[in-house]
Amino acid sequence: MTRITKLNVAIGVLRLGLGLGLGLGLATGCTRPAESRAGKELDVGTAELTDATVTVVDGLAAVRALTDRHLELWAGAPAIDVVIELGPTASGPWTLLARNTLRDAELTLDGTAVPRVTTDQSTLTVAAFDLVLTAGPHQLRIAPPDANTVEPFRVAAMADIQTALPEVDDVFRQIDTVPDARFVVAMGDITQRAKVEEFDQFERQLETLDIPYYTTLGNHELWGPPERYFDRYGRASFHFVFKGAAFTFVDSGDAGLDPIVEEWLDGWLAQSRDQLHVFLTHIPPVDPIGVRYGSFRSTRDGYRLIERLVEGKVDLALYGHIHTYYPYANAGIPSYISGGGGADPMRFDGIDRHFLEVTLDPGAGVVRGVVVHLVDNH
Amino acid sequence: MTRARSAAALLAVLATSGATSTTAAAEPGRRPVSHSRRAAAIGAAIFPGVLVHGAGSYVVGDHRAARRLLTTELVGLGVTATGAVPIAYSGGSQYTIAGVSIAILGAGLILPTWFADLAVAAGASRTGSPHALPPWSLEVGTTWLHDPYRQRGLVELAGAADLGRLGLGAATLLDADGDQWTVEVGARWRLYGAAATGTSIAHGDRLVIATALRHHRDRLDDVTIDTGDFLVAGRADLSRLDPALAGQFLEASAGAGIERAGFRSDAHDLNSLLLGGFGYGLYLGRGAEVSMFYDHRRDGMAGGIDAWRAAGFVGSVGVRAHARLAPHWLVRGELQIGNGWVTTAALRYEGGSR
Repeated sequence: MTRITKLNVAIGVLRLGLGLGLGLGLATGCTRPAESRAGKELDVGTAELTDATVTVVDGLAAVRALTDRHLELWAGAPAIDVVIELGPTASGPWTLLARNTLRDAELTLDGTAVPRVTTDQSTLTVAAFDLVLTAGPHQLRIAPPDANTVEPFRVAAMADIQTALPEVDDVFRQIDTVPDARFVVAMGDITQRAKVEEFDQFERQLETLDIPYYTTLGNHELWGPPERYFDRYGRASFHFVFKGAAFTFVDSGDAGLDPIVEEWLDGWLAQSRDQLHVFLTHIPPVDPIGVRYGSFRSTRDGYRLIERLVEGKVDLALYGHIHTYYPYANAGIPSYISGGGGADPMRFDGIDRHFLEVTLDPGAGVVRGVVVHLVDNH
Repeated sequence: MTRARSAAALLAVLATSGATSTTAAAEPGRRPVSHSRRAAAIGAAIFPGVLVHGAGSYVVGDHRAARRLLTTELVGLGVTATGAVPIAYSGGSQYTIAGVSIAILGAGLILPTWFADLAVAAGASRTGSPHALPPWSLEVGTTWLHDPYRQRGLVELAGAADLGRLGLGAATLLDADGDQWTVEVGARWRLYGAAATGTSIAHGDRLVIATALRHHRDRLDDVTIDTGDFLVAGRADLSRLDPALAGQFLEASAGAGIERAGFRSDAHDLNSLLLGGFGYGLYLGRGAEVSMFYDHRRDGMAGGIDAWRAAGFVGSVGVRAHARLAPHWLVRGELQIGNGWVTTAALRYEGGSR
């Protein structure tokens, strides 16, 4: 029988400590929690069935359905380009349903305009088209006629709906009253637990919104599998240019950017260095109230991102996650935390549900204004 | 006496259990514990001990220690709730966020009491006694940083000296490829605890106030971060709680800091830091010890754990140990896990007579 000596005990304790440390490390120490999620984003916007393949350029729309001569998309940007390649058995009449589009969005098929048709599913943000496709490749573009006209325009910005899904239509109805707002840009946390029924409820509420809603995901969307989000709303990290202004959304749902996402971001920042550029992500890289740490899990990585935004000449940064409103600056970049979608509002801050009205002047390369709209509670 | 009262304040929660300063050696006549009882105790310490701290101690017959561990756990729950409830109620308002420090201190009573119970159940307590800090020391080591963006090998050089109650220290971390360098200077004032003699002492209790200035440059990030912080930190031997817990200690700290981040464009940001943490450890004999810790700060190399949906709000965890190779030579190891993994191995020379 082994004698229990101090040495044995010490060795045991060391083993216990190392075991606990390594176990804890293995359980918690994955340094790239978003790596596989970033990889999955690359599948967004692609689908195929026998004799038909669909590719949405830059993954700017989710393919909701690709069935026998029927294509259904959820747009993640105001202008989307789609390549459809058909074999002989798939040619013929097709129907296209484009959800989450601008009310004046038009479809061009290989450069020719295709008129909208009215169906039982048509709404201000759901466009239906009948088209005839022959075998071979086809270029489709769904965009409003002024998508490339550089001139001032307005958008609304919001985040953090979560438990307030049942009454978010109040916010949407008030956004509808903002004159000429073209679309909503959102910084994530649509749901509280990423349940299918929450996403269904969100889409029912979106029927009260007259303009499309382009969003990245928040940490609350990660309660469910990321595919649940990607399959419905497309990529969480994406970039588009509208009327001369660039919008870059990145996935920070794990309180950091995966290096894959950072690489995409570097490319988008380089592309739009000379354009008016709005950057959006869910979690602020640095919390303006630093002691709270409602920010990236590494302060150094937060500043690393800010340095990139500065060098990329970003003009405006919009964040969510913290359920209040803070105007501040990241190394001189005007930055706003706007978590006013209704989820568990912060107290003692004098502000409850709200959204931002953002006026952009891409021709002049300036943000003309960011106005806070308060939404009355019932 | 004032300093003694300051230390007593740190230990106030422990004192609620009616702790005395009896050491393990002063408790004679302990009955041997059979292997089957020991196994049952370890099982009880795991469950229901994870919830009812002291269950393992109770099974091995240390009933008083069991009661005091449970009492301390309950006090810890109360302290945590005191800090956390206002934060939750206010939705993380800036006016209540200081409660995080209180919540951390509470957690510092909850988790360590479970570890202490595991140690008693496993017979791992009473293995060693504390040593005072050395009068002066020099350390050379290597640190490996593995995080989402960085794989770096760093060289660590550090030195410390105590001049009465005043302790001074300096450290630097240099990346072998020149991608990062960090320089830190610090000072601490010993409010309570043994003088820095490096010798074996009866109790390792100590309370210090400390301040540090740090300059960190990351060449690839193109960011320079300067930090100044202030911290109150203490260690309390668990033998104060019950003699059966001799050879174990807990640590706690709280503080705040300010940081200035400088960017390539000459723009800069100022921000505040909340510092705090807790730890639990064992004295292993001959001046060696091992401890586990939680560190709330997010500005270091480790950052914060990817704590699933709570990512961003949680700091790092780690384990550290040192063992004496010769009277003046120690080897030190540390693994800290947060946003990145930071592994350190170092060799330290401790001055003073032994």
